[in-house]
Amino acid sequence: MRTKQILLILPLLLALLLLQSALWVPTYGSQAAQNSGRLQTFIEPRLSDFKLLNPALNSDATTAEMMDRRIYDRLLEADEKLDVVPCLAESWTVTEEAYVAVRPERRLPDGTPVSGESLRAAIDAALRGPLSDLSSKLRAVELAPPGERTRRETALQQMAGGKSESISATVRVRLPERLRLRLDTVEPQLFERLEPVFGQGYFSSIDVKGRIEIDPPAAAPAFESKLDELFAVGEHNPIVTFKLRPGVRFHDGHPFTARDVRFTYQAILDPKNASPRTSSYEAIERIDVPDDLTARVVYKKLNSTSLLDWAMMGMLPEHLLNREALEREMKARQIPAAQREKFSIRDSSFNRSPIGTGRFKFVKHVPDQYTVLERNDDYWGEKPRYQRIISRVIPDRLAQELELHAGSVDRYEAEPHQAARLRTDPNLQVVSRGEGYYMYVAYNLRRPPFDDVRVRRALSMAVNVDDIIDYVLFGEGKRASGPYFSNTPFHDPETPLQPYDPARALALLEEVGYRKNAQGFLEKDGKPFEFTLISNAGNPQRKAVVTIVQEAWRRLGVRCTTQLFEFPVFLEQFVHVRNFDAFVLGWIGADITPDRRQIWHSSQGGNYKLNFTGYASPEADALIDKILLEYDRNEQIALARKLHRRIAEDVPYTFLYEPSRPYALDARIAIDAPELGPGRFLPITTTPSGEIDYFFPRWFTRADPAAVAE
Amino acid sequence: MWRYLGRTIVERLLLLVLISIVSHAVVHLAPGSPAEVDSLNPMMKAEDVLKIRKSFHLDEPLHVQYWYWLSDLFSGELRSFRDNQPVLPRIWDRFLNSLPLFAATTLIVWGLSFPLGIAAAIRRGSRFDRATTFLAYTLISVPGFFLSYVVILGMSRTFDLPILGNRTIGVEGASAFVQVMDRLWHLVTPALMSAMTGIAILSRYVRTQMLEVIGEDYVRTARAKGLPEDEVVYGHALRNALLPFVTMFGFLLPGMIGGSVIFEQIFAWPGLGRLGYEAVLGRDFPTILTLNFFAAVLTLVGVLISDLLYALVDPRIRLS
Amino acid sequence: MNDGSSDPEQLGERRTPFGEVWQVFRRDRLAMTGLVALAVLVVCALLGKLLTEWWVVIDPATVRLPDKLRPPLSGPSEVIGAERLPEFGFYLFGTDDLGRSVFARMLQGSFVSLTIGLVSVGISVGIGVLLGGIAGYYGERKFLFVRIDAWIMRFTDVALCFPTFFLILTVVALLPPSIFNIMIVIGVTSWMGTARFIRAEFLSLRERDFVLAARALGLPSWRLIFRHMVPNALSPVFVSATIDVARAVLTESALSFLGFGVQPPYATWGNILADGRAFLFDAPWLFLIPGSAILLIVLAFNLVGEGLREAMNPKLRRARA
Repeated sequence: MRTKQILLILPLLLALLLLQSALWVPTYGSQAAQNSGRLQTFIEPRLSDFKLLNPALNSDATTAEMMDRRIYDRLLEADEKLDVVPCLAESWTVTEEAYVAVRPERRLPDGTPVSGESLRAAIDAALRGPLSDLSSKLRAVELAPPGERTRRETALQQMAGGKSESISATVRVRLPERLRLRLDTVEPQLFERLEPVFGQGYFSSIDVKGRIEIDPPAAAPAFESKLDELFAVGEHNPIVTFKLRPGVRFHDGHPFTARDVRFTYQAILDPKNASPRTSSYEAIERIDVPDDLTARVVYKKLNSTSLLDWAMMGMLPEHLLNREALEREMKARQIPAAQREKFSIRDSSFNRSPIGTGRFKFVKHVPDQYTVLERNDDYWGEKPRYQRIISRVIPDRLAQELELHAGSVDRYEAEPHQAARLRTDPNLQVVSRGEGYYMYVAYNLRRPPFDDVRVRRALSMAVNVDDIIDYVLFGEGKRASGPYFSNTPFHDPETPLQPYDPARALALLEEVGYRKNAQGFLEKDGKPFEFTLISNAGNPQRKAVVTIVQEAWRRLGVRCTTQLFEFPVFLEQFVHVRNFDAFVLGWIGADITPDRRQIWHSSQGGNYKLNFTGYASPEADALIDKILLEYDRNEQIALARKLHRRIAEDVPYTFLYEPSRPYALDARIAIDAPELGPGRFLPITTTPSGEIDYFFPRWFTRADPAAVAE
Repeated sequence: MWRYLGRTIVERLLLLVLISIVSHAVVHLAPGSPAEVDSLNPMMKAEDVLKIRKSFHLDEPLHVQYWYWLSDLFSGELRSFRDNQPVLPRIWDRFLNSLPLFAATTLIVWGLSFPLGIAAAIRRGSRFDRATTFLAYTLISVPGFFLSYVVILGMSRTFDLPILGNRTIGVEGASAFVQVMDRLWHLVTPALMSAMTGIAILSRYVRTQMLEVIGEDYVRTARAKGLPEDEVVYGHALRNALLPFVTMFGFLLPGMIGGSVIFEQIFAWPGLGRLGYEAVLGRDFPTILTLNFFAAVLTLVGVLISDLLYALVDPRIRLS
Repeated sequence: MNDGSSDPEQLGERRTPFGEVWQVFRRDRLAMTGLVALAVLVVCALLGKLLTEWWVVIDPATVRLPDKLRPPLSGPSEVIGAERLPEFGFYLFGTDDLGRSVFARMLQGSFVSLTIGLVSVGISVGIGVLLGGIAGYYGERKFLFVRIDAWIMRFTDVALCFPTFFLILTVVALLPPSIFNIMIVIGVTSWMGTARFIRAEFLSLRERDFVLAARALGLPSWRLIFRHMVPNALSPVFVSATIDVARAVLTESALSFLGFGVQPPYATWGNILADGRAFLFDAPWLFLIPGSAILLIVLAFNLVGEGLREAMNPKLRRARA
């Protein structure tokens, strides 16, 4: 019967067809043998796809890893010890222009009325006397005529119902006649030192309202608190002058010039582009381009960390993204006229086929699957050994491990328990990366009893962090003592760690007034000590920490319930609106800057800002402000260490640990070291800054598997 | 017939609008904002977060947002919140990726269920019947991802074969034949795993249908006429038992989006299901809504097709 | 197959409809196995609730970091203090990555898993019976010029057109992940079958003699509905509900797998399984034990459901006899 035969034979054929394909699939060992290009290709997995390959529009970690030092170069770079070194900029100088408004209503200490000329004479006299140390630094003192200054500014406006909205306005300031002082270095104390020369109170704030015009006027109330920033008697204008490396070309052959630097800055500030980096660059007044290889960045005010922003931002090609280029693209893509007005860099196809000056050229991107980069053979610096990078999206670590075993990725970031097992695999090497990440428990200092430092200290002492590191992290981590990462110079090695001491924790709580009740739980005035500890779902380590901390506190007698929320919900409904008792989270981050204003300054405690706990310490505020004004690196480090210690002592967070993130790599990957002799290589190790791929350009895969055993 | 068709299509279009409004409301009223609002970025000020919210129209009233979505959808200018890329081409790409997996799964399900179901029906009460019955129940009851991981555990421990994704990355240099085989191999495990429940349900259904039909008078008559048993079973009984299955073709369609989420996630298959999952995670509202919309379209089309097919094969049913 | 019906003792027995079903059901060995398994499970769930929450003998929350990832049947290490010793002096099902006893967690999870299954199906049956009943009984009346039946059935169509799993995923991801939300969402997305079912039953029951007679006697309609129609329509609903419980348990585990399931502190079999996945190579028992448990409970519900269906289906019953 034919039907019967068909019914039997078809499924059998189907099964055979499917199963025989297994015979042709390349396995780990045979991959390199079958196609020689494999050894020249570096394949790495990512948990999720990146968004836009444009450093002006994205600042998330996934995208940054793809862009940094690969597609784009930055003006400056942090080296393996986290010192700032040249990259696209060959050298740079930091100078200053300081402005002092002429206040004709005042008199100088000797009685002469204030005018431009009299101020100048006073300075000249002082340079021969008390300010003699400045005489070598002060290049010129000039008189700037009155004028008008127009800036685009944003402020936060409080709306009804506790919500706040960002509002931008054009701010016009009528400037009086001013004295311009050109200095070879930045002098943060300049005005304090000039004050005795010009008379007490010369630099105290004046009523600026009459000089300022805000458009639209409705925005004016939002700027009420910022008036001092809009105009002051003494204004510092630090200037960073970059000398660019000559002969650098973009991947399309177009030379890289200072105009690209200026364009990158303009692209970030253009409100149409909705760049997340705006806040870092708003401090810039303008960028001058005296010639092709000089970029002169003029800042509105003192900020000693702003130089570091140039070590975090890739340079965009102006000729591909300026208005004419966008017009061309709109014409080519036949964008309807109605949408042309809105069309911005954000809409450009450039973000999916980026062009930079980096070591690797972008080739292809298949959304949520993979991205291919090809070596840039015209690179100005050291050329990478790998011909190609393929970055694959593999959304789960277990799958990444399987792919590593199958030879279809070359490395991945392993979970600690995976790393512990993979260390014994002769085909693999495991290297731990140690930079910038710490885990913490944050307390809401606005709510009792967390407003009492003894309570926070007691809760911290009840948690055995060493055990967490030993057993949950399998030893892959070290304790965190405060807000600066231990791989940076700002970390204070003297700051003591909170000891694990449940007995003292209990004693501290008893000191506050808590007593154990019949059920063994702590009570104060008949009210039990109970609260909710929350965190985000989807992070196994955080979940483990939540469980361990909860159990540790329960043994102390604290009734703590826990809840995990999906990340956006966790932020929107709890963290950002300060609706929490305590939560577990991690900071990942900017190692090179000592600026911690956004997280610890008392002014950042409002909803949606990053000082979640509401930590407010006048001493810490002063230190944070001082760091931004301190241009001497050693002084800056000393201040940062003080801040580290101050915050650690106040325990707004229980600082838990800094995980070292283990990476499993193919054992054949090594660092090429021709300077040690022909064919010599070095093993992959962690740099003092904690990175493992700092030397990535010199990485290569050794062909002979015999060397693996070595 | 045509009048019926016209009326149902109008009815279904209305339904579609209703569904899109409901899902739009559900998605937008729920808490959490799109991941682009990366508010844990220490470089990002509260002002910036709010600015980006504004550019996505997130602070406007619901009906206005709905209108934005609808007009963007039909002008083809709908863009993802996540990366600002057009949504429709992406859904089409993912659809093309999902298609082979869907086709292979369907082939396996329909290819295996019929022989199994028929054999079980003929040998009713035998050891084979009881074994397949129990096996079918087990397959219906086993969580799909559990079985998949048990298979992955076994496979990767025994052979070092790649089984994730839709192809091996890094074989671009190999011959075309190897590449085709490579793609085929990557289909095998996920298709087999997602076919398991289907095989179990369908083969049970085939068995029941066959049993019902075999009990009917005309089959008894055929048998009494002295026709060979195979002729009776495959010629007479099977043909009549097939009738209800025709309608099931229509219901296959919507499974392309919803049914594949878990398997695409496990096997890192870049298809529609995973697109949906990632969109949900990232609060990429335009993608979520559009996927939901297409899933509803597929369901409605599927129901329509199965109605029509049913009318075609069964002359007793008149569409009215 | 003919042993039961020819038994002289049973011939004399007066057979209630329930008794008749039970007679058939009893002879179905698979279904009976399922029933026994279910009974055991219910006992486990109740014991779990009792022993892990009300009268804490077995504490699923005890963290013993030095004893993490111990295989089943292994004993505790010496460093574990007396207050943290496991329930029987050894780890019956091993320990998880924090050294918590898997047995204790499974015991605690059994109640939660079972509750999710039962409550969500309760919700779906409730909605289904209500809407299906209204459509079937009052369908002819009009509301806004359109028959109520048409309103309800169109609404059912809308609900059917949502891609169920994707919808559940969306809603669960967007709502706070409380255990109640998950029950409600699963329930609210699965009532359509019941509604259609009940409507069809009601439509046919309305025309039956006993209903017509009761109506002729002037019985109030609520009495008619709840006393006469609902009980008669309910038996097929009961069958499909049994199978729906199985499906709800599977859905919960799938949601947990994707990370949207019930969140701690509640342990469910689904999230124990999902957590265990990361340790597939290091501690397979963390994955295999909850996975097999889910398989067993779902299988048991399915077998009982199918057994009931066969026992209640007169056509099949006749064919069997």
